[in-house]
Amino acid sequence: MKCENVEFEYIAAPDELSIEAKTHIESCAVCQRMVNQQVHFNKKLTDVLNQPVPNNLRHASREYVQRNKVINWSFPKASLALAASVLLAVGLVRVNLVNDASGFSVDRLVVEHFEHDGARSMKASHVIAPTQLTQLAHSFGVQVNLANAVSFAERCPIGDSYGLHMVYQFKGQPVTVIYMPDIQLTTTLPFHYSGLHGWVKPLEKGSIAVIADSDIDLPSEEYAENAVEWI
Amino acid sequence: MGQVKRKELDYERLVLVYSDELFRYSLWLCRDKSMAEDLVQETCLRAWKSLDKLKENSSSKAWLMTILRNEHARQYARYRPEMVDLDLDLVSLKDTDNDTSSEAFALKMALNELADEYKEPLLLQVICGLSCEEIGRVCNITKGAAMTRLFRAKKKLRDVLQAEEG
Ligand SMILES: [Zn+2]
Ligand SMILES: [Zn+2]
Repeated sequence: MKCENVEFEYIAAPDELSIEAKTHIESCAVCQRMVNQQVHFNKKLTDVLNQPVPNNLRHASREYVQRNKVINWSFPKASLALAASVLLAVGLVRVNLVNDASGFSVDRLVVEHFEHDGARSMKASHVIAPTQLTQLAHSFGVQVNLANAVSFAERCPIGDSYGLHMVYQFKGQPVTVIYMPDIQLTTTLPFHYSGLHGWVKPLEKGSIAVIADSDIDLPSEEYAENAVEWI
Repeated sequence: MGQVKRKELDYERLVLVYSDELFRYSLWLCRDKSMAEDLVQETCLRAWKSLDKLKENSSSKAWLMTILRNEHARQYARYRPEMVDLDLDLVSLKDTDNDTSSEAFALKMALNELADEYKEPLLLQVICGLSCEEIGRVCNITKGAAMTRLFRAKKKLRDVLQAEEG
């Protein structure tokens, strides 16, 4: 190996030397001198580059993320329904603080719902059997009129009561609908987060939420309202 | 353990653990302390949001530096008209000085004058400890190009120091 190649390697990346270069240096006085000079230089360079770091930097960064992570949440398409149901829980807690006797913190509600069914709700790609859906809906005292379009339906804990959480295809796009018989509202609550929109609407009994990606058209309130019928 | 809790731990382990390196890299890119802090915070937020995309822990440092670099490019494009000139940059760097020797000052001047394409690989290697391979990935160049730029950058800075010494 030539001295100039060794010099190139050593100056460029002293910590990544090839075995050939290392061997060459051991037996070459010229390169040893170069290495000594370079060690001296690297020390100075490191001292200048490693400027002091503000003491509170880590703390400030942690706080900044805490403050901003929810408001500016943007969702990968695949986890939309999941994220939507999480946001729904948040939204409901905000308007139903008085009704929510459980005393659960928002965090806890979100985490619980997240862990309960999160990933699965969007993964289901096939339409669920009508009898299965009928049975589940009946347990809520309702009938679901979203025939042959529901790919996910489950009884989910929302706050201190249960909701009927469904994902269905509307104009070929997944939309999440959650019927919550025990959560009352006085007026429709629309919401719009980064990458996401929807609303929660009071019904005769309980309320219903519809959520989808901002790019996706929401079904009209009337349409969604008719999705659930009392029996 | 809950998914959120686990994510917070991952975040501490993969992102916040490198906050010093992020800040130093950021400081030399921005040449301004408070801009550098803002850039680190924004980088942390972006890292949090895309933590799921980080598969392999060993490359988390390079991944973070890429986020910071992209974010800097985005902000720089936005703020460019108001960018301070070189004299002001040097004043603000002096504020953070931990070495007042003339050699150190000459080295700083030379670093500030170094074109970004040479300065960045140097920062990534000396401050962040990235390998040439990783530097190449962060800067979108080959490993060989990274080595060449590192070689030239150090040669140039060494010449400045030698001139200073005598
Ligand atoms: Zn030699
Ligand atoms: Zn659910």
